[in-house]
Amino acid sequence: MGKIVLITAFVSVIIIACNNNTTQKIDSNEDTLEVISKEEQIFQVPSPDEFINLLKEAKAEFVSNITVPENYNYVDPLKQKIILGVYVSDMAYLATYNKFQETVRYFAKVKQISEQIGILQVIDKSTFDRLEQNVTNVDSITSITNNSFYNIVDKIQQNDDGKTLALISYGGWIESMYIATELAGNFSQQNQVIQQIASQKIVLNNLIKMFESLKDKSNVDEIISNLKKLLEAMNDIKAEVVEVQTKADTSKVIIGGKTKYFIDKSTYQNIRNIIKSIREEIIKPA
Amino acid sequence: MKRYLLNLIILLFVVMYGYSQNCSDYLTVYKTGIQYPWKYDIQSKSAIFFAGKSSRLNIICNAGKDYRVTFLVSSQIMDNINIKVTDATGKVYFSTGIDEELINALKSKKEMLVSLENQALKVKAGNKKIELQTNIDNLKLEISKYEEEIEAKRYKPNTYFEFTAMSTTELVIQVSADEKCEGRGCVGVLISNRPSYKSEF
Repeated sequence: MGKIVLITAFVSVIIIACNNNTTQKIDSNEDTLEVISKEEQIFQVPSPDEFINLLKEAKAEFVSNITVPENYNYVDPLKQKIILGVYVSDMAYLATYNKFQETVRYFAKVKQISEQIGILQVIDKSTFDRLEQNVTNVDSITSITNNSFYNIVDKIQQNDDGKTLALISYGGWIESMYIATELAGNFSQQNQVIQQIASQKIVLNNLIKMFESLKDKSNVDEIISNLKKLLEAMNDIKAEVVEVQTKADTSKVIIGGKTKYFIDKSTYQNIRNIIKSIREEIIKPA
Repeated sequence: MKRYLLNLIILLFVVMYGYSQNCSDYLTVYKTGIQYPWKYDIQSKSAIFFAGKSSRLNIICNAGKDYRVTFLVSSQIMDNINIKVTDATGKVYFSTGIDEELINALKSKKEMLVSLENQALKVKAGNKKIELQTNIDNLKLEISKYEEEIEAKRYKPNTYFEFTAMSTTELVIQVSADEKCEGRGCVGVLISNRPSYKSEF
């Protein structure tokens, strides 16, 4: 009798282990906890601090009072997630341009909103103390703020919450694009900040696919439609590879070539207006 | 009977554990090893893999940055994981595991070798014979390089891939576990980046 039970259990195990269905129930790293497909496609976007750094490298000068005031409050859960991305971008902007005191204030805001959306213990008191102690050390402050954001993202991924990640990415990317348009100054196709803005079409594409691949698409239709409107405007930008790297250091794998983006004034103005209007809607307290 | 029931419970426990294996924090420890000037990239991802599972991770690489993509694989599935890094057009920049393209290329090289050897048998001497023999020797050398590369990708694969992005570009990291994969385990794609340094003065 015992042997039969054991054999039955063993056979069950084999059946489960060899299950070749296209979906399986396991605890996974996906945006839904329950079901994971055997074939999956994941779309990622870089963190906002990466783009802000590129703006600084493009010699963009700091412009004050363009960030969202820290005293704004948001109660709508969806909005809280989007606005977290916005404040992360603002914090990265302030940290990149060495605005230490402001960075600390925005760090406190990021901590507050992450706790509101249920991401607890990612930014603890010791991290906060470390930030205050290193308030004049550029490398430390950017490292602490960036790492705190990376920990938030990690926590969300561990919670298998792809939707929250997409919402934060949306807020963060729109805010970093808004900052870029504010730093760009006068239009010229050669303007390096405008070239950086143009290069972001590829990120926008991934962001749209990130939302479209979500299992739970509730309340994100408007976001997808906003992003598609922006993509339509950015489709007027043309790109051309102007220099393919052929250098002595052959040990280095080079991907792509130096690219020039062709964008006219009206296209740029249209893109700028769309970003501004999406951002206005995002930051409206609700 | 009690002993069998105990065995059954232990067996089910093992299955449940294996089934609920969570790979979402697989990179947590590894990412702490990233050293300045390299910086962790939030596009890193980890997931559970089992026979037949495949994943396409689409990431964005910013122009003017160096990237290092490190692949971390649980030992129980290590021999059954195939990795390929391509751009949006499908151009392959890195691959491990069974490389079908390389295997096909080797096959056609071997066919070409047989054909050249047959030709050489028909030619008795002279310049044509020398030319054929040189081609055969070169082809043999090429074939042995292909074989070494196939072997290396299969059994001694690189665990990381480094490159410089000259333009902002999308890369597709494809990870798949072949059907022979018996267990389940974690695969982590750990991405780090740094500003690209010019190598010349």
